[in-house]
Amino acid sequence: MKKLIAGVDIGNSSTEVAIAQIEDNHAVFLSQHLVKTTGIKGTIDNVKGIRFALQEAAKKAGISLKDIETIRLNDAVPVIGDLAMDLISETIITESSMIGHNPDTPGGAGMGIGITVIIDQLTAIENKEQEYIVVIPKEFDYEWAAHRINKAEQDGIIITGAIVQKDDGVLIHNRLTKEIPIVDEVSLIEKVPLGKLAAIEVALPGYVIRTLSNPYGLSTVFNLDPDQTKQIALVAKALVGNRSAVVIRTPQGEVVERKIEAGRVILKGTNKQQLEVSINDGAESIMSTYEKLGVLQDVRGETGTNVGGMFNGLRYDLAQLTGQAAEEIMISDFLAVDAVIPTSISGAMAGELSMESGVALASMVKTDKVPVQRVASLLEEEIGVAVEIGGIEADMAIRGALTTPGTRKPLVILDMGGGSTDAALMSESSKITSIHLAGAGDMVTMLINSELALDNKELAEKIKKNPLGKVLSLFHMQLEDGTILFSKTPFPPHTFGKVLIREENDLTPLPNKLSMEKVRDIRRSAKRRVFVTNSLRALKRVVPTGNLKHLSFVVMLGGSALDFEIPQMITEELGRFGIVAGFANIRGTEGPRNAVATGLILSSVGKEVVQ
Amino acid sequence: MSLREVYVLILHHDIQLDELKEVCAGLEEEGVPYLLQEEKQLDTCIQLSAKAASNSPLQVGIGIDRFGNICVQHEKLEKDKPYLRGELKSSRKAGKNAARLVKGLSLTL
Repeated sequence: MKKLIAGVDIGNSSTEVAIAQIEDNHAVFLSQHLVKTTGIKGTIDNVKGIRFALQEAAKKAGISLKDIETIRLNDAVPVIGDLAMDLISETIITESSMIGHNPDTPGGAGMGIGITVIIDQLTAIENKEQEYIVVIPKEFDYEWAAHRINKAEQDGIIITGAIVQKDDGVLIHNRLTKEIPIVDEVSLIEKVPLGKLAAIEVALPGYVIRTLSNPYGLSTVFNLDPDQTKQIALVAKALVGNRSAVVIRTPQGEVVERKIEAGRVILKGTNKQQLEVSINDGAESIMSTYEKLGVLQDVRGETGTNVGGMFNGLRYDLAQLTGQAAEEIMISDFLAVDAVIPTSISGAMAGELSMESGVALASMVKTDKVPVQRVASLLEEEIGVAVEIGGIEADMAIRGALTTPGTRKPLVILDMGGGSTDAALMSESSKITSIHLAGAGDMVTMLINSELALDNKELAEKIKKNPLGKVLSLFHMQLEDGTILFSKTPFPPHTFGKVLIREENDLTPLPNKLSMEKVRDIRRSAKRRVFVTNSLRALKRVVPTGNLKHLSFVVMLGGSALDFEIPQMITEELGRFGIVAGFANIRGTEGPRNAVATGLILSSVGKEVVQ
Repeated sequence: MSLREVYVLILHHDIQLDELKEVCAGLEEEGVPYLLQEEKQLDTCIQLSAKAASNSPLQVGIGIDRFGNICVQHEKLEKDKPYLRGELKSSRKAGKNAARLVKGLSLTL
């Protein structure tokens, strides 16, 4: 007897279906399809996406939806995750006392120290003992400005540098009789205080400034005592790596690195065990405290501090998502990751950012059973096909994963999705242990978005998923590994000279300030911090002995297993323990996709797959 | 090779010199040499830029027609498809972009 069965897996980010023909306890897979999950996993909004996916799969299989006898739906895991991120330190430089930036074409090179004066006040200068730095706002033409500076020099006024608003540095420099360093493209020039002692430094092309980025350079220039030097050291730190900089001493200007009251994390375990750790100690010590605790029942942040705010925010979000009261939410797992958060310096004059340390948190709550039954009923009503809820998700995923050629029990699956990293172990006797951990693809996106200061989640998502390239000429692009790609058609102007995200059919240029190396480093480090950490955490928990050396097969599943570099990172890391780890190839054809949908169909016949 | 032998060629059709100041400033700020020439045989900025590009030792040329339309062109591109277009009133940008095209740097669009 032949019959058609469909398996439907609703995930946090995608919904996957498979259709198979069952004949004498054999499943012959006809087609599969994947769509974005509509609405939050486990809600009736999912039906729209499921219907569409089923229709597409039916079309591919050449059947009508009505021919399907049973639709099997996964019993969605009742966990929901959320993300938060905040600073634990902050540099505040008051009274606009610095400019540090990298204009493409500053003028001249060297150091200059003097009193700031606006260009049209040059002729009014009486004190010729002093040395001066000219400030040139955008309304002044470069020829006129250069002429004025030359004339002032003739009159015996010593000018040691210039700060220019427009991109005129080289133009002015070329017209001067005496060479001075010029910093240009200073957008907020009106914030430059006048009549104050300033130091300006421009490095030669390919070099970075040395004096103003050195605390003792600054103390020499401004004649500072040790206490003042300690204060200004933060300015030096903020200027490291720049090609040009200006530092202006304003008497009331003071710099403070304010350690924000980041607060303590309170971890609650079983038997009223409770451990505390300061978030200032960094992610590593937080996670090792967590490891000491073992089983987590809930976690709180000290009230009235940053971390308190972060956990409260998470609790509130999760309450909204699950429809439970905020006090009832118990955080069953969290992942803390160190993060660099670029923060705009208050009072900056050229849009400078300072790199502050921060922490990113992913957390997860167990909810009441996700109301999949409601989804099933609605689906049945809309399509007119019987819908049944299949077994536990982890069980289904393992059954699917075992269709990967070259695998056998005991087997661990590592399901790396968008919202959570799940792991399950199937022992030789087919006993299944499963766990759900916070932190997955979405956390990687958050880290990339923040650390590259993109403020654009979609762009961060694209960076996460694709390799980079840089257009070198009209017809050449350099790839991440250094190889050069030739294009028969010229690259369009908006991509010329830029670092690009190489999508399959599209090139997305990145902002100019981002270099290919920097983007690649941050992308890979974000993936490591989340997925390598989590895969180790997950495996330690599912292995009864806690010893990874007792494992032999690990199969990666889920959207992030499709990533072009995450599986390799994990293969490499787990290889150190002698574990065979790789991404799944469901039914020998589907790669890491469709495991649960496949498992749902197989579990209904309890037999092997037939191609 | 002496410095005079490399430049971006700018061909213009009957434009006053002081109106060309900004195009030149764009190139100068980027540190790329240029040569200004008048060309009254050609009418459109497309033709002017194509000729400028093919006669330019740096393979990049700028054409400016008598209405002040500007094209930036590269020798290796199809002659009737200029790489960039602009106008005299924003000609600093055209000069700058032509120079950056020579240097392989990203453009301001």
